[in-house]
Amino acid sequence: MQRIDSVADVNSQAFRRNDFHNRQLAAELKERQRAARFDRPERDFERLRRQQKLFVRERLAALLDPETPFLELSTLAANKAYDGEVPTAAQVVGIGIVAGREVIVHADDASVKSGAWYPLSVKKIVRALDIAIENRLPVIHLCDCAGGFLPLQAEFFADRYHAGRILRNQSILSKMGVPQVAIVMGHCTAAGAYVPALSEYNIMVEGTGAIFLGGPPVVKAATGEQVSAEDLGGALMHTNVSGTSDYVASSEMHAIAIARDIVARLHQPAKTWIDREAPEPPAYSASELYGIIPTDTRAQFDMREIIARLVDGSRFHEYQPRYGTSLLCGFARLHGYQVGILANNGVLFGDSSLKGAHFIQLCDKNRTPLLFLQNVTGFMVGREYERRGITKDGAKLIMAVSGASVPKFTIVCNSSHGAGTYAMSGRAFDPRFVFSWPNSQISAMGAEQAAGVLTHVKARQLARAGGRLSEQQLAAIREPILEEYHERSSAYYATSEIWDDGILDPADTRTALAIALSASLNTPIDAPQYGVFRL
Amino acid sequence: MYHSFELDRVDHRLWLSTSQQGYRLHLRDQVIDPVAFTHHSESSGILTIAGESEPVRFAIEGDLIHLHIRGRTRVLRYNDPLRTFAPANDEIRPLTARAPMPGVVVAITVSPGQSVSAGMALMMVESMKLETIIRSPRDGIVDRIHVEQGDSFEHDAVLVTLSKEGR
Repeated sequence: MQRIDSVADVNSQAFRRNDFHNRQLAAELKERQRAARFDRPERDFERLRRQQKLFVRERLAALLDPETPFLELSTLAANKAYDGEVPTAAQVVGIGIVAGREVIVHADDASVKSGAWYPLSVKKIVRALDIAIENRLPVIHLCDCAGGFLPLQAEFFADRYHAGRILRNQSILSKMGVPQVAIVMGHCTAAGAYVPALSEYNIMVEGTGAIFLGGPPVVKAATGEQVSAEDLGGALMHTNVSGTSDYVASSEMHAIAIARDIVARLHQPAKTWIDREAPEPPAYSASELYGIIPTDTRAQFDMREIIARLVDGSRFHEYQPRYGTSLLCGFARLHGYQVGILANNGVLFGDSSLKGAHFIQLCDKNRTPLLFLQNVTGFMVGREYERRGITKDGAKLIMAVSGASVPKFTIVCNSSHGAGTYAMSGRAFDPRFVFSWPNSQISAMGAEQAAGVLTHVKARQLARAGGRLSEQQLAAIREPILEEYHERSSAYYATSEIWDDGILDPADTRTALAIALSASLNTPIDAPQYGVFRL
Repeated sequence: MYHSFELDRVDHRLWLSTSQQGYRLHLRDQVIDPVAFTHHSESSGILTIAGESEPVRFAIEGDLIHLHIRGRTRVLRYNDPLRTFAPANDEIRPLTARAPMPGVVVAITVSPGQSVSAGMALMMVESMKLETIIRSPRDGIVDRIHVEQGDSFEHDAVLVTLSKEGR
């Protein structure tokens, strides 16, 4: 395979300006992640110590195999919600190695609001279990949750993807033969009580762990019965009497040791075979990505420069290099695994859509996972393009993206707007993982265009009524729209709402993708099958 | 969770991770790379630590490893975390011996005030044409025996109550 010859001038002023800007963004990301993980009021740490509980990060360190990677997902979930008071949405989710097995961990973080489930906590747990289902990853639940945050119950209780979905997903995982191990390290109340109960194995920590549908105050109010938490649903009762729990542990460390022993003996099915060679690092340093990504999302850049810094040996077999050039398609290897890459080099036209749809089918037949690198403002608009059927060509691309059986992975590298977001395997198209870069912007329309359209609509309404907007009035409409747009299209807003699985430092992308790709191969790949392509 | 080995009564937490030339040994804050081992026989081989090779002989006896290296014999004990973290005393074991099924007392082999250890026979009972030995659930002192020879009892009946030692 041919090596990409980078034409980036690492000594140019533009490169150095980009480098400075993007290193700052990466440093800001790392700092925000650190704060979300570790910054808590001292009183919360004190409370944990008083309850003889470990901080969730200590639990995690003990659970995972030392010196192995942990791909933490959605660390900055809820960073723009609830006045920033629920860092990480009070949940830790990630893919890691326990006793040599690839697993996904879901842990309540009791240092945040005693681990109460907020709407975004529920969304994060449901997503973790969706990942487990899609990639057949055993789940370790570290349960320590005060229950749902009742003032916001309307946003997490009754709907299809609300808290009930956690229990449904657990049941489906079990039905699929993907085991779960739960450790009860705090109270598991109401719906939370079913999390350990629906796990194949569960362990309770004596003294701190408890499982009950209604806690002592609820029982008192309902029937007048006075009972202690330990007596009502403690470890000894559930392991000796009710059989709700399997093992009693004398401490959290003991419980973790038991869990590791259980995971070590879980059946480990063979992974799906895909074409693989010995891995090779890229010929160009990943840190040069900082100099390639522009300071302004509207500035164009060649995706080959990005690919050269992600894939093995910087080698890229480009497919149809002369046709539909605004969508780059080709084969490369990532840690030895063959992948098919689709990357935007401009707006999507009819020919680029046809090329993309065809390339996806090639990869699907060839059992080659797909990697989408997004930098797309959308599909080309205008009379001529509509007459040539840009909509039906776009429909072919969307049909191919939706129907592909091979695993898909999406990186929002820069901009992601309009139907371009969809056609490039956005969240709604079930890529196994979606990651964003800190500079990226995602919205239905770019901020400038949206402000333009909305101002235009307002002006026309007024014109019909015989009025006319002054420049000042126009600006007064425009400014707030722009501001709101900028805020709500940022990578931080997207990750806060869990539209992605986390923001990545661009330099870490290759490693994160390798972990995601490896995880995806736990699931067999279905035979290719598609819907009707509008020809 | 790191592995734990005891050497001369000192606990050492360590982990082996794979590296390109074999293994990397993580020992507290220290990383020794590479670490490799070649078997010569079932009880000897060459251990390579950070480029230096040493012939070693060893014998493994359960969790004990007798290792002969550089003219000295050392004894290492593997500390299984399941045992290390398990309760050091009998705290979570009950203080009562209960009937596993309904039956009749055949013979009682302990008396009140007697000190017993976990697993020691307390009495023999007969049930469903089977003779079953009721054993002590933990270390302790026999506090009360609730039945006499020839008595019949129901499932889950308390047969013997123990008290903690030294009370």
